[in-house]
Amino acid sequence: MLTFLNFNLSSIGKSINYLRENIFTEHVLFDITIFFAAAIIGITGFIFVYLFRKEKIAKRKNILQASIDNFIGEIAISESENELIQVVSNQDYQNLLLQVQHSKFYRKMLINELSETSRKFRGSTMTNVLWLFKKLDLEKQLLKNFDKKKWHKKAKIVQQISYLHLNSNIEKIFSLTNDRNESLRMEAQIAIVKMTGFDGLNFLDNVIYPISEWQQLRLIEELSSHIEPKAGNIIEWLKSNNLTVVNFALRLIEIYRQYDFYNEVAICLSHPSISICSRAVITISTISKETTADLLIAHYDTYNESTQITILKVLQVIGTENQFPFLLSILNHHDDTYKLQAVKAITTISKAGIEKIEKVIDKSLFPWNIILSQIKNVA
Amino acid sequence: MKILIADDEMITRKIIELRLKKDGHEVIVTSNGQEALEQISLQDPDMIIADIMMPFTSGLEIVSVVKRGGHHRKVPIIILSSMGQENVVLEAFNLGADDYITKPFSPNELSMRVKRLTPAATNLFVKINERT
Repeated sequence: MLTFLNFNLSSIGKSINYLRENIFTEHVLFDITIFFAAAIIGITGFIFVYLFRKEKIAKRKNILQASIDNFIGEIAISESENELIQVVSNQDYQNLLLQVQHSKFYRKMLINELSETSRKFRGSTMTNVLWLFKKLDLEKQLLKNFDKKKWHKKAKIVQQISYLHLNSNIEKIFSLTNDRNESLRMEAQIAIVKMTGFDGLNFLDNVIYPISEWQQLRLIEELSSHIEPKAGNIIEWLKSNNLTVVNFALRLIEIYRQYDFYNEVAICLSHPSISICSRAVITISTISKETTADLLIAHYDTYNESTQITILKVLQVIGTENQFPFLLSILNHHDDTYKLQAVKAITTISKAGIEKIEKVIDKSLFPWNIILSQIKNVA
Repeated sequence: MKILIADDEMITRKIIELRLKKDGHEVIVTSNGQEALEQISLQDPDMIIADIMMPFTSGLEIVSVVKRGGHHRKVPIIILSSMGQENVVLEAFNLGADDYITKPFSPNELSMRVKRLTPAATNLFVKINERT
């Protein structure tokens, strides 16, 4: 072992000597040092030039940004067309507009600022911004990238078109509401609803991709700024093969209390998808009739646990003493959650409900001792 | 009247600033909550217009600090925010905000609300209430 170690050490020593005498001579080492020193100086120089240029561009951008903001600010607060024309004719702004005319970068920046302004403001400010947008003929510039392949660029243009209410481009945006790219599709759907309100929901006729819960909430939020609800093709949407479209249609009926579609919602209670059934239970409870509670009880046994619990919760709101026999039968359920919801329903429907419950259960036994004390405390 | 604006969006700040200057007010512009609180103690503004979502210190924190006590507690504060949820609006009023405007908003509407909160308008309102 020791001999082997000695042999290795001596061979390493020999190799180092060989390298020092034949390869890493003093002359070669000097060349390498010079090379690395030059490389370090070169890289440092490059970094300095790069940072200097970057700072220069940032400074120029900040100056331009401030100048554009001043210009848009003056336009935004103008109170008449004469005042608008005066602002545009101002010599400083004329120079700015000349730069905008000659530079694609400046034009893009101005478009971005204008669309952001029209997103954040309303009233005469928005009207003034749109006036300027048209006066400078910026629509062509905005639409230049629309046919390019990069989805994120398209999505941004879609947003800007909707902020600026450039309604002549509705058809272009409509075609993207069923695009295979999810982000682009979502932005197009929001944009079309922002621009045309309830009419924009026509994209639901053809959309084959799922509409996420988040997107449904965004659409509803967008619709809230449009005053008059329109039913559109809601009956067709309720029959859609796209389950998320059916879900969204039920949501619309629920939010806008569309009593005319009671029968269509009732049909959805027998939908093959349990998630649709569950949504239909909630929807029908918001447009309920005297017979709704019995209708829900008729479907009760065909549903899963969470939908059954939903029905028990709904009965707390729309139930009457007519549903007591059903609710009292639930008190025998093996699951305590069912028992609790049934007790809640009975006691909410009638003050005498608690006495009826006490007749059929032993209130000293678990879980009734806990459930009843809970209910009494709440009352 | 000296009005302090606290908003992190440059274009929003600029438009409010120009609108209020056009109405004859002196305007102090700040881009975050921290800077706003510093300027409030340095410059003693007569009114504050603050956004909610800002770096370092939020608009609601400004309301809370200003209305908690000290000689600025009577300075009217208008909250300007894209958050229109009931709970946020109620929290702002509970903390002591005098008005709440939801974005997108109209600068003309803001100008009217500022006028309504000026000391002269408030005194007139009190006098009318006393007489009726």
